[in-house]
Amino acid sequence: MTAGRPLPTLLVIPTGIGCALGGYAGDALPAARLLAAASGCLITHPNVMNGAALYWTDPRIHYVEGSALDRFARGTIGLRPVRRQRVGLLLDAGIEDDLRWRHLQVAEGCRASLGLEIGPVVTTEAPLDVSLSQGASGASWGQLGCPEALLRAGQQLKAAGATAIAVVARFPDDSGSAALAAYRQGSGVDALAGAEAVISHLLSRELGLPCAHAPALSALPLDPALDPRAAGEELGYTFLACVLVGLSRAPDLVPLVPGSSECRGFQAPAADLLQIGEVGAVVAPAGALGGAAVLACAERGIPLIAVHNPCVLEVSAEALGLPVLKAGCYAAAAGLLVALREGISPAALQRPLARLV
Amino acid sequence: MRLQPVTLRLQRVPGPLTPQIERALAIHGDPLRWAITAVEPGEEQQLTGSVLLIEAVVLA
Repeated sequence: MTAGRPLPTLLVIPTGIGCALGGYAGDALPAARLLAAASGCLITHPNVMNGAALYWTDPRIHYVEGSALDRFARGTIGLRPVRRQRVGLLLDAGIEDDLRWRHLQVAEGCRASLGLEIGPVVTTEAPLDVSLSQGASGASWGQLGCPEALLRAGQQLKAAGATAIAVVARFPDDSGSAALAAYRQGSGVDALAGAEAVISHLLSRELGLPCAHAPALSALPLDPALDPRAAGEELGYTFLACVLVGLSRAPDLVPLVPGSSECRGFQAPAADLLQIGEVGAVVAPAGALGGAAVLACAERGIPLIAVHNPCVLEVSAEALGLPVLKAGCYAAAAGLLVALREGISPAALQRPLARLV
Repeated sequence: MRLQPVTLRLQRVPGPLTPQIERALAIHGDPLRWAITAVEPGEEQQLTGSVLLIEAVVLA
C-alpha cells in the first residue's frame, strides 16, 4: 500500500460509550485491520479487537489493555513484541460449575486447535462480586466488591510463570433489561464494558502484565432481530476465545521511568522496544477525545485524527481546544495515515488551500 | 483496598489538562480510570473557565 516505513499509530475506541462503530462485539476489527495496513503498526486495545468467539490476528497490530495504553501514552512503559505469551487463566469463584467448564474447554480448545500456551488456572478465593453502573453521561461503569481477591489470584498466576492474564468474572445476568435489548438491537451502550475495563485496569496496573477480561454470563435466548454488530457474542457459551488469542501475542509491558511506581524490573530501552516518541498518529472518535491516552498524546503534539463515530459523549476537539485532523469515517482516517506515513501534508489534500501570506 | 466511583466538575485553567484532572482526582484516591465525559463552555465560549465533567474510578 505504501513504501514509507511504518507509522506507529494508536487506535482508541473507548469502551462502554455506545460508539456506532466499536461499541459492540469486536465490530471495530475491520477498521483496525484497515488502519494497521495503512500505518504498518497499530497499537490498540481489547475493546477494538475482541469479538467474543470472533478474533483476528495481524502481526502489525499490538493488543494492549486500556490502562497499559494510558501508561504507554504517558511514556512510563514501552511495548516489546514477543513471539508468544504464557496466558494464565484467572477464574472468578462466583462462576457456576457448568459455566466454569465451558470456559475451561475454550482454553483447552485454544491450546489444541490454535497452539496457544495457556496456564496455569487459578480461581479466586472469594467471588469477585461484580456490579454494573452507569455514569451521568450514559457511559457504563462498574464495581468490584472484592478487588483484593482478584489481585491475589493474579499474583499467584504471575508467581507460577504466567506472562499474561486472561480474567473471567461472573457478571450479573440482565436478560430482561431494556438496556440489553437495545444493545442487542444495535442502539445501546454495552452495559458490561465499564466494569470489564475496571477489572483489567486494576490487574494490569498492579501486576505490570498484559491482561484482558471476558465476562461469564448465562446464554441468552435467541433474538432474530439481533444486530450484526452484536452477533459475535452469541455464537458460543463464552467470550473467552478472543481474549486468549489477543493476549497470546500481546507485547510485554516494559517500565521506562526509574524511580516511578512502575520501576520494579526497570530495563534500559532495547532496539525492538516501541515507545511513545515513535508514535506518529492517534485515531479516536470525534466525540470522545477526553480519555487519558488521547489527551496524553495530544499534549505531546502527536497528530490526532478525529473520526466521525457517534457515541453518547460530545467531548469534541472544539470543546477541548485540541488541533485535529478530521475524518468522516475510518476509511478516510486510513487515507490520512497513509499521507502522514508518506510525508504528505494533510492540508495539501484539502480545498481551498490557504495562501502562506 | 476499595474501588470508588467519582464524578467531579472541574473548572479549566490555562495549561495541559491531564495534570489538572489528576490533581483533582487525587483528592479522592489513586485514579484507576478516568475520562472527560462532558464539557460546559466558559463565558464567551472561552476554553479557560469551561467546566469539565470527569467520571472516574479511584482506589480509595
